Amino acid sequence: MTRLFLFLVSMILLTGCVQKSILDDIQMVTIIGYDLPDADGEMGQIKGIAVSPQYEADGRIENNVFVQTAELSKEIRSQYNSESPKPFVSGKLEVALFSQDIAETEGIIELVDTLQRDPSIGSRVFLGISSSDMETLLKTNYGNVDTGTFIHDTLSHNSRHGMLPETNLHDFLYNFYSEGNDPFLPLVALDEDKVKIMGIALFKGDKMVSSIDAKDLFTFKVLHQKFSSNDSFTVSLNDEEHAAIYNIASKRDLNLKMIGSNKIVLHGKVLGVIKEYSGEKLTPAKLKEIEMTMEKEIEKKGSEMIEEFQSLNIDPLSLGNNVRSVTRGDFNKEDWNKRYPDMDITFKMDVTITESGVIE
Amino acid sequence: MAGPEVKDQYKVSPFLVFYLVHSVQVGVGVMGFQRISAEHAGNDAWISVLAAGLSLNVIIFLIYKIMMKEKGDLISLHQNLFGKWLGGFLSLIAIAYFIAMGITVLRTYIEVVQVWMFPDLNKWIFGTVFLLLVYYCLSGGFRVVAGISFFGVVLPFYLVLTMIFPLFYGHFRDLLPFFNHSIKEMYEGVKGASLSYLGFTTLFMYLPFIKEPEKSHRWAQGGHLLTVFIYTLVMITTLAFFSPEQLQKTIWATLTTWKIAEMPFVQRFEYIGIASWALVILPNLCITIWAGGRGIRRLSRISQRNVTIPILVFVLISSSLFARRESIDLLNEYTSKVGFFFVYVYVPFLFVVQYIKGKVDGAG
Repeated sequence: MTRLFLFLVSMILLTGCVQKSILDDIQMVTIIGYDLPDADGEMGQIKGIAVSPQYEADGRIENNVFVQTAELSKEIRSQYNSESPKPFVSGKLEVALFSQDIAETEGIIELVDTLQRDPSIGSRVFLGISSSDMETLLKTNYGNVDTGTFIHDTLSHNSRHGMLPETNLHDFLYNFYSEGNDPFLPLVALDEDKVKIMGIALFKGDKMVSSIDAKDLFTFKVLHQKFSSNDSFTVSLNDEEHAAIYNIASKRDLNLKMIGSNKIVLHGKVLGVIKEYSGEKLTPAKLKEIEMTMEKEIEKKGSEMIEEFQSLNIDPLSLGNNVRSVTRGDFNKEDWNKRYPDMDITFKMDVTITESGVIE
Repeated sequence: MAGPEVKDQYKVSPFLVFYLVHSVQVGVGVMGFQRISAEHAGNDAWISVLAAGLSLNVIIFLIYKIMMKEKGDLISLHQNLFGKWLGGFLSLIAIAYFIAMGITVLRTYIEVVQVWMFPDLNKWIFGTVFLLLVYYCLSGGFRVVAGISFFGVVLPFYLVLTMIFPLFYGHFRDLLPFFNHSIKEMYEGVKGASLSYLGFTTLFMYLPFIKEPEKSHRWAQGGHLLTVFIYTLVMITTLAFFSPEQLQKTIWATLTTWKIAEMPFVQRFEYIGIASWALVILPNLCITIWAGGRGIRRLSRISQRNVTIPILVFVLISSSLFARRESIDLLNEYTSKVGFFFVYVYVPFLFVVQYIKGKVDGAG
């Protein structure tokens, strides 16, 4: 009986043991942006911009923007606290953006490291690079929504159904620390009152070295991974005839049998459906022609892309990791980096159009 | 010294050994054993985990061989083989080892709660409350301990399902090529992996409490095989989820994989997972502290009830003394090393000594 009593008493006492965080009394950051400080700022410092939504009683959502400059990103946090009526918490963070300047000059791994170190931040947080000015981007009002969720949703649906390859905090770290991968992140910019996906930023280590334009994302995704999406690809046969191919599924096959003689064959297979056709009649011969044209076009673009990757010596297609997986003995990353730029990588494309809509 | 006499009413059914073995194995180790095992064996670490597990099936077999001949517990075995003083000394070391396991488990769990959930959690208060609960279980005797270990396995078992989330992000090509490490590297991996399997040596203490102990052998093997299965699964998932260097930077790989989990009703799954983990930790503490207390009772004839509270106070104080990450790591490392020696060297040694002694006595 005494035992039970003691137990119950300590249970009641325990509830007051740790600090509480009541939802109405905290400042939940949903998006954070990092930029280099303005010209008059000191060297080695970063500017952090945090946006925290405030839900008003009448249904309005107000975005509070906090801007601070410091040497460590957690130091920025304590500075935010000094100008906010409520304490900051990072458990609801959805997106972390880095300015192109910071990604190109300083590298972002130190900033990403603080995100992965914090147990309250999930691995699904989106990372992104912004080519517009960070402060303007985050201070823009995107309607009656919370900025973080708005940008998160834009990135989320585009990587789930659209042309953006899937990226998040975990993927970035996986690729960064992996022996045969280089990370990439979505590149966004402010487009009047919208956030637009401009393409993807390619990294060498933690520094951005190049980017791929949004219109070439289809090709990149074919090269990169197996996927299915709702986006379409437009083929122009001549000035008048265009066809929009709606992509059903895509698969990539890597042939590494000839890796001994430094040869890799990348085989992309796309299954598609015609959604729009501007010509007169869609005959089987025309279909064949469309398939051929699309194959040629993607092959050309893809080969150019691979060549660029090789000349920059970056490997966003994780070819290195695939080679590692068929290499007995120690896979040497330095050796691979030497071999990679001169490797003979062939890209072959195979398009099959299965349906041409409900109209013949 | 004859084996202990345990009244039938204090004994438990043989099938409960399944839960007793499994629950004492799965403890704080599974939260982060992947890194240690993969440090040397790399992408072949899952083979090391599997091999370590299967090798321990042999050790469990040896334990049963020894105990079926002895018909007692570790204390009587020591006395019969090595005499009163040396045997008693060895028993004391074993008791210290059991209690050290309890300290390690409690401190590591508190560390996890502090790092992942509440940085300002007071370890004294949390430890006191948790140990009060342990005392509550222990004061019911071994039958309650066995019951707790049953619940400690069944209730949190749903956590196995959480390994599905990282599978969506798995890069299974990372597991290739198989067997790409030298025997030495694989052995280091086995060593790292075997640490998370420890704890089943408490069998030495509670076998007299099992009805028809010979029948419990297959349950013990079964409980261990379930652990092997879960660990191998977790290891494969982890290797596919992290890249090698990333894994080396991750202290609690299992908990970090939970960061990817997304559910409509909860933002961070770790809060549920770690809280559920208290149920996994509870039988761990109960069994090890019970084994320690039982050992002292058998050595000294002080009743176990009286000795439990001093042990619990000792566990609380000594576990709270470890304040830093490095010292907790060190604590884990040393209990693991002793445990490794215990199962792979000492158990076969006991078997051989008992065999020789049997031959000599038989001849004389």
